[in-house]
Amino acid sequence: MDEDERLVRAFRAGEASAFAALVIKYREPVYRFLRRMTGNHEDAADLTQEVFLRAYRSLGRFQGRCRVKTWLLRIATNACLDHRARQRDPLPLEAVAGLASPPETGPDARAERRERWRLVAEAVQALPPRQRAAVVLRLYGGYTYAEIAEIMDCSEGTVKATMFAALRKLRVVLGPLVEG
Amino acid sequence: MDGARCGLYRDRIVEAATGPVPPEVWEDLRGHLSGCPRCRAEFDAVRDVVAWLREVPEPPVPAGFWEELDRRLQRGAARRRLLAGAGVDWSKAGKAAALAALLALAALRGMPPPDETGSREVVSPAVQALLPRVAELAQAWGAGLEGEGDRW
Repeated sequence: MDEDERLVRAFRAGEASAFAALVIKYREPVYRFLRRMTGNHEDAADLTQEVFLRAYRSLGRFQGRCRVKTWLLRIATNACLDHRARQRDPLPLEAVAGLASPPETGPDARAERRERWRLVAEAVQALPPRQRAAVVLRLYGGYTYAEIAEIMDCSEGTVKATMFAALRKLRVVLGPLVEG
Repeated sequence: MDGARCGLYRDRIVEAATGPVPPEVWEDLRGHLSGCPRCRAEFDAVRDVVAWLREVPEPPVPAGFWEELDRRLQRGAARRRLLAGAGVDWSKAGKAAALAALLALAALRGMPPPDETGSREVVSPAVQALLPRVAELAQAWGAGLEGEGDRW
């Protein structure tokens, strides 16, 4: 039995501080995932809070079929999908495509680089949520396809197809940047 | 070049260009790429886009956010009556994690440990007993406090 399993058992046995230990251990990966998913700190902070409150409510039913971290990131992914559904005006990918012209050449290379980062981040934000989740988990979290499949509650084949579709869109949108 | 065979490598190209793949998968793909200019170009194009995506730095965690999260969890839990009677003090839990790290450092350096009272206030002896090696606990909690490097 690993450390997390012992903490889950302790929590179920009524030891509330075991949950506090899980929060401290996993708050950073959960926040960093949500920060990349939402594109801003405020929404990421709200969703991080929501994730741990949801986890607290359902930890008693946690089956232990996956790691606690995987389970928390699955809750985070679902929270993002709910959050996106509540948003009124999702950013269309076409809108970003119009922005992604090669940066102006000028003396301020640092400003150019920051502008490039902004465009790339906006392109990721414009992806459909599940494609965005796959890209964020793979490229920024370093997760394997098998781990992403567990987090997104789907098959590895679906992860592959989702990644392929996401990268194809990003290539179209960011093409002018890459070639510029 | 065999079009049907190239189709089989479509997903592998994306997988290999975006992160680690098992060695046997990489060897197989590399063999195909060496004889297929079209797939090689596809691989290079995906890799270029991935490089642009990875260039965007990790946004910093705003100062004081973990403490704010502690307060928000307390408020949220109280509002939902989730912790009725449980009395978890998230702020103290954070201090306990820091204390655990200090204890581990002290143990590693053969120094006398600081007062453990704070840790025991928050993370009960029963939970501490679940985590027999203080150094491991400190490392895990340190990851939560200070980040896990590139992979989160």
